[in-house]
Amino acid sequence: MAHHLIKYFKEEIQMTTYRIWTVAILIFIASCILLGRIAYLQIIEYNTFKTLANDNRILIQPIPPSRGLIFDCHGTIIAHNKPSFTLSILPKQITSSWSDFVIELKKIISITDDELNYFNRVKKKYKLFEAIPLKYNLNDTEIACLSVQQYRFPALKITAQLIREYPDDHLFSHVLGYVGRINKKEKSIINKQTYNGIHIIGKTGLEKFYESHLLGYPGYRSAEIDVNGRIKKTLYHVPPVHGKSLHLYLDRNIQMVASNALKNKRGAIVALDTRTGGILALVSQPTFDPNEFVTGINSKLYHQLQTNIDKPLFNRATLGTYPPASTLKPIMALAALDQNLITPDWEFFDPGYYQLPGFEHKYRNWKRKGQGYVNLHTAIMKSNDTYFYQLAVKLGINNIHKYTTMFGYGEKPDLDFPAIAKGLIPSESWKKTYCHQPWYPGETVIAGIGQGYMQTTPLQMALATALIANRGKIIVPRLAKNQASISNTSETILPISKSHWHIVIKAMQDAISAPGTGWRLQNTPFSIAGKTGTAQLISIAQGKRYDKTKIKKSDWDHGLFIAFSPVENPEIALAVIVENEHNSAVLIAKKIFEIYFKNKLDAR
Amino acid sequence: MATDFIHQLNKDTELSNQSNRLKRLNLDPVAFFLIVLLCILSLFILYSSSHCNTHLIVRQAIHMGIGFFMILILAHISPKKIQHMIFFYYLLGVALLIFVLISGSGAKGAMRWLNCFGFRFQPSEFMKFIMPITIAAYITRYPLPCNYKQIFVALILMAIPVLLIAKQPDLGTAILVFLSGLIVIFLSGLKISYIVLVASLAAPGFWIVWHFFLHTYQKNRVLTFLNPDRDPLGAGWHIIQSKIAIGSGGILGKGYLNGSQSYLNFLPEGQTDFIFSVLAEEFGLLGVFILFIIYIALIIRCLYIALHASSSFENLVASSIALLFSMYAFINIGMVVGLLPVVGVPLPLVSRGGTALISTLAGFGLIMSIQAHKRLLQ
Repeated sequence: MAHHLIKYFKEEIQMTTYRIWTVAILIFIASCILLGRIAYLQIIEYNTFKTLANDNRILIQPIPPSRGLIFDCHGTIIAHNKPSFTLSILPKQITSSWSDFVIELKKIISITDDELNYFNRVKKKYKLFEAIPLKYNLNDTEIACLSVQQYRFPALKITAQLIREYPDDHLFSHVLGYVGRINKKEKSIINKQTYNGIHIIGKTGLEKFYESHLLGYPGYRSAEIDVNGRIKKTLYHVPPVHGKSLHLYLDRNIQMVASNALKNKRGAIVALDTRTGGILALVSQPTFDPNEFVTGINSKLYHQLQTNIDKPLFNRATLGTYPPASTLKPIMALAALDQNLITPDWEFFDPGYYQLPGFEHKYRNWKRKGQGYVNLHTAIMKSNDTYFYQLAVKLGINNIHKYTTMFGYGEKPDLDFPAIAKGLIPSESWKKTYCHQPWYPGETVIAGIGQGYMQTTPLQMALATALIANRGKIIVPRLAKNQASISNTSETILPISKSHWHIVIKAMQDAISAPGTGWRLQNTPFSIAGKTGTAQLISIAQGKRYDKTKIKKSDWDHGLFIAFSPVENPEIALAVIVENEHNSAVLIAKKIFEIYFKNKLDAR
Repeated sequence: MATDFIHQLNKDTELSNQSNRLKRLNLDPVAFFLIVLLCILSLFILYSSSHCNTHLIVRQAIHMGIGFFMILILAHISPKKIQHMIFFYYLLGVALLIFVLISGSGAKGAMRWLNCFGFRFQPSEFMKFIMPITIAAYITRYPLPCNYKQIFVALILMAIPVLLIAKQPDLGTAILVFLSGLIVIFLSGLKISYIVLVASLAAPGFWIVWHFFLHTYQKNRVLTFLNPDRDPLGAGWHIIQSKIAIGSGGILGKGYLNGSQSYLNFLPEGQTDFIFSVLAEEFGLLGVFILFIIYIALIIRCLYIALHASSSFENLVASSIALLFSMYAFINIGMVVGLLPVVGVPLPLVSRGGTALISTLAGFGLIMSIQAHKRLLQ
């Protein structure tokens, strides 16, 4: 029995032995498969996975530089950076659906549709672990509310960063311009490396022109992060190069007086230092608050600004073109003297109008009765139109074109500013090209008093005035001081005889005292030479009179005034334009001269 | 013939005093040494993957202590006694499983844990250990190979705990318990042609169905069914991060405590299911090789003991424990290297976890007992 059992047992053992060997072979094969797979991952795919592991681990964060500050000539800050708090969202940390999340979030702080739309537009551009900004400029209450509720929303992140601020809000808006979020078009142009981590760019004005100067260069920080994007340790840190500051010739005091003087009017003022070419004031009214643009202007306000009939976004000082009107007369006089067409004593009886030989049409003087016998001096002083109709005919359009161009009209001034208009000085060839018409003699007549096709900007007028003040010495206008490119040292002088300058400037000086047209400026402690102007917007029919009450206000004449002071050794030249207002330009100029000389006294 | 073998083995193992001392404790020195080595390795890797959490290491060491105590006890109980007692434990296990369903606790709706004197344990894990022994004890009452009646009864014995575990619901463990029983029947000597036929039909059939007839969401549902803890959206992430951890380890690894994937929490479940990835990341292919060598040596030793066991019950128990052990290791590693779907199987003796560790060590206790008591037959 026992023997039988043992035999049976041995059979069983043999049977299971087979199985065990089978198992052993299976395990061997399985081990080979696993080891092969692991060796494949660790040897052949090693570099791939090493890169992936580092991608996981290392976050390279750009550190944006702080934008350069902008100072006026006294060292007053007119554009700086202030700390601002931004609410950002880490989309990966949102536990509920996006719409539920927004509903919950709206219970804590107000979020406008504009902000949501912008968020949805930009969120594709961010990486998985990056926080996407949703709401800028949080106030203290909002920060407090968010901080209290943050435990409920791990996706919320409040970050502090520097944003641009213009402390004088409206005062410098046209000259400084503003910064804003980089848009799609700008994104395609800019160098991605220099703008790493920077979300704003200079959009207009000096902020645009000196973008690279103010920008700086971003630094970066490379940090090891965990799976939730939290920084575990900083690996290395390259500090950013901050933007350089910009010192301007602009004088905040003058700018403020100029701006206030134009308040509730439409117009522009450009004042510059005749010695350096430095722009002292550059005002265009009405204006806007550039701070609204820094973190993205809301579309309603932007629409308002854009559709406003007074065009507050339009920089009249450099882009607005106006007929120079009578302010052109000193240049016409210089041209005629230089061409030896007249002598200063040449006299002419003004009947109140001028007629071209063989034409019926009467070109009227502004004083319909006429001003009797006028010579060059009285013609400038009293702004006699009839006299200059004559001069224009004597000069011919080609000479008018030549001399106005010499004074910078019709050409882009070389100013460190992005948006500058060229204006227009007509000529025979211009008319042929653009109007497909020959030049008519009548057009020459009105060109003599700066009307007709002629279009100039307040900036050009101020520069031409400075040129007269400097007796023909050409200066390069500048807004910013610290630019090496200034070439005012090289003395380019217009080839016009000294005595001619003297005659014209003397007449301009007398023009600001009675009975001159600029009599409102008389009795100032400083000597001034100036010339008024009245730009007609509509032509008055023959035999009719200009009557304010019968035409709409937007067609009323523009008041112009150019002046410089002191007459000998001039320092400041300016051009003032007040749209649709006749008389205020001279008074505004007075205020500017006053503040300029008061400043000078205070400085002493 | 068997006697010659035993004599030879005695001569081999009497080489040192150390092994004599272990033998007096009925411990097989080779297996014991390899198990201790694995446990030490486990503590080292756990220390790293838990970010130097000593509390956790102490806990795991205590679990290991309990496990070694189980080895000592089981090594002293003769396999014959175990064969008689196992049905009682089987019934106890089933009772515990029922109890779990009534008053268990667990995460994500699955009731698996039982709180007992401040300890939490998983009766289903113990069932993995009891199941093969029970089946072995049952079928070796009759001459082998089993007939259909015996197979049917064995299947019933398996079905009761399997259904109870599936009800928790924990289909993954249920399937593993079922497999642990099935393996015994396979090892007891089903006709090989029958096994090959079933396997050759089932394996490609399953593969074809999986790849061509199931939609992604259906596969996900099946996988989630197998392992309820599995996050259907996160599974891909787990595997990607695990492969990155392993691959970036290279040949020599990133160095101990220097694995960026595990240290920065990119690697999920680094202490449990994905502990192998931590090892591969920090010690590279070299570390993987060492682990494989220890595993294979331990399995070979167990198979050797099975081969020289003195009864078919002992033979079956030892070989099924060895096969299950290697199967768990294969499934776990296959999963973390991205060859197999993510099912919640820990790396035996290395992953964190109390019950699984203790029941695995208990299994080795049985093998020790088999090795120690084999002379008694003569």
